Amino acid sequence: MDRKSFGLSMEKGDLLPTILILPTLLIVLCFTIIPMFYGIYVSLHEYRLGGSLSSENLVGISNYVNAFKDSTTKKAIVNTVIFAVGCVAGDLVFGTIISVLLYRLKEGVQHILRPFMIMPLLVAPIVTSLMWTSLLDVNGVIYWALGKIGITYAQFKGVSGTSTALFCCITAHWWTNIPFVVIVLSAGLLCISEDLYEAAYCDGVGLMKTFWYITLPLLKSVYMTIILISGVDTIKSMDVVFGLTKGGPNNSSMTLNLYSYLQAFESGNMSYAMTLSVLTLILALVCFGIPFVRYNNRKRNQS
Amino acid sequence: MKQKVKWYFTIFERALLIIFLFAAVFPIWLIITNSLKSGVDTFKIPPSVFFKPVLNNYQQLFKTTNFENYFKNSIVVASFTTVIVVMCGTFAAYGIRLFKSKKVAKLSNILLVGRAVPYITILIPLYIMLNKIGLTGSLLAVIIAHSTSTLPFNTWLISGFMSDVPGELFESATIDGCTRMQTLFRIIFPTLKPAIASSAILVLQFSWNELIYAMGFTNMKTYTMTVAVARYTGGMVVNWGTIGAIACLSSIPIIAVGFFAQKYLISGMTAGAVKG
Repeated sequence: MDRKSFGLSMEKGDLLPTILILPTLLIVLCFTIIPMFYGIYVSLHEYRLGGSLSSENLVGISNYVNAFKDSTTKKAIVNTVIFAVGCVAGDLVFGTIISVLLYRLKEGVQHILRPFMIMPLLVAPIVTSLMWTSLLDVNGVIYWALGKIGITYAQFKGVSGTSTALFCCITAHWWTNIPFVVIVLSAGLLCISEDLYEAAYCDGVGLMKTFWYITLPLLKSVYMTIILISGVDTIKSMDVVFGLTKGGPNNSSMTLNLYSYLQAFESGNMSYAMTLSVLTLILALVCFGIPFVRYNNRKRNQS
Repeated sequence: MKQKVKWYFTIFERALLIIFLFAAVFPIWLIITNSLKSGVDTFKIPPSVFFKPVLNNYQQLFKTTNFENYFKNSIVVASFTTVIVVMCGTFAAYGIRLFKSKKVAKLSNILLVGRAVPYITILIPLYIMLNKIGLTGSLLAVIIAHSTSTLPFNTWLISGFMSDVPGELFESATIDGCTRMQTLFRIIFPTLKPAIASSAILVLQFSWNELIYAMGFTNMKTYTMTVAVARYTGGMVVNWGTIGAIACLSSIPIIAVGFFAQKYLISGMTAGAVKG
């Protein structure tokens, strides 16, 4: 893109571009940036809803110290990481399989199947969690199917088992997020020139090897973006876990942001909830947010 | 990748695809049929494919709850959020393009940080702040929250599309005597219609389906559909028929919109990833 050929050049003291950006800037400043810093300020106090935020209640970093002593918080941090990694890994594996299978179909068939494949994406996460609650009901379809292959409730406790609850949440999240991966990967697959595959075919390279040595390296940047976007969305979102297990049983599927939400709106302990949500923010930024921005900056520089 | 393979491998592939397709569609099919079944039928396992459809569940839902109201609230929130985000996002993207310096263009990538901010981090302080000025419980609070959390990413998205518009187009508009605002309305909006549609459908889908802000900021009178779903299923004796009815009513509108605007949904989602 050539900025010099831009006809509407800007002169000194020209205010129009600033005025155009102003509404967005104001909204983000007033409702995202200021609340964020206010939240950090709140987390340094002892504050419950309706209480006062005065210097008497200033407790410094003791909320953070307490958070790292709290066994539920530790559990929640571990769960959040497992949840994010499990969701993204599954998304990538299943998403890749589905998009390659779709790609190998005739174009007409692809067009018919695609809407059905992306349908789960449009369903609200809370409705998704309802569906999975009904599927995972003891008298539901999944236990019926598992019964056919000889697995009983005692062996697989689903959402009410401490070791399986988080896995159920991850499965439900796969269901909502895989369509996104399929959409993006399908678009990526279409960008790869057909000639490369033909050349590989002429040299007698098998399907698996073609995928491993041609498709995968060429899709590296697409995968990178999917990992970062899905990762950040997984850490941010809590609807599925909220609807499916509400963190239970016995906090075994508690994630950091859900714990924060419950502290704020069920216990009314605002300052501690804010401490937890600052930890969530740090986790999201360090793991995915900052790499995402840096990655995109590099990409824009290259082009 | 479209090379021929042995026939048994093709069968294996098709079977695998059918399994995945089944997994994607089955839960939706189950919840729709459940909502149309009478009490006894919903507990039948395996679920019956043929049954006599009844509208009992829907009638009961409308009788016992305030559903029209929740539906209206959702429409208000989703449409206002979409309009605000698309308008402000397009203006800001145009502003970014008008700035000549490359630093500002680079700065637009910082907008992506906005996408990484967890909802909960904004929800709690915003709740405290809005509570002080008495805005909690109103739809305006939800609209504010939805706008602020989608605006950065959508500005970045439209800005990406905007930088693809060739400079010559702007130039010829100037030569023909357009002011810069006229250029925006007469040239940019028409050329960027698909991009704006993509952004709009992404915001609409987010806002309609969002639960956490809506749950934090609304009260009995201002529940949106998703909040109603979460609240009513929490306290209800497990009746999959009625739950199915709620779920259907809340997801069918957005699924329908998504179906018709499929092209834009896909282009919006792939824009960030594939094109860069």
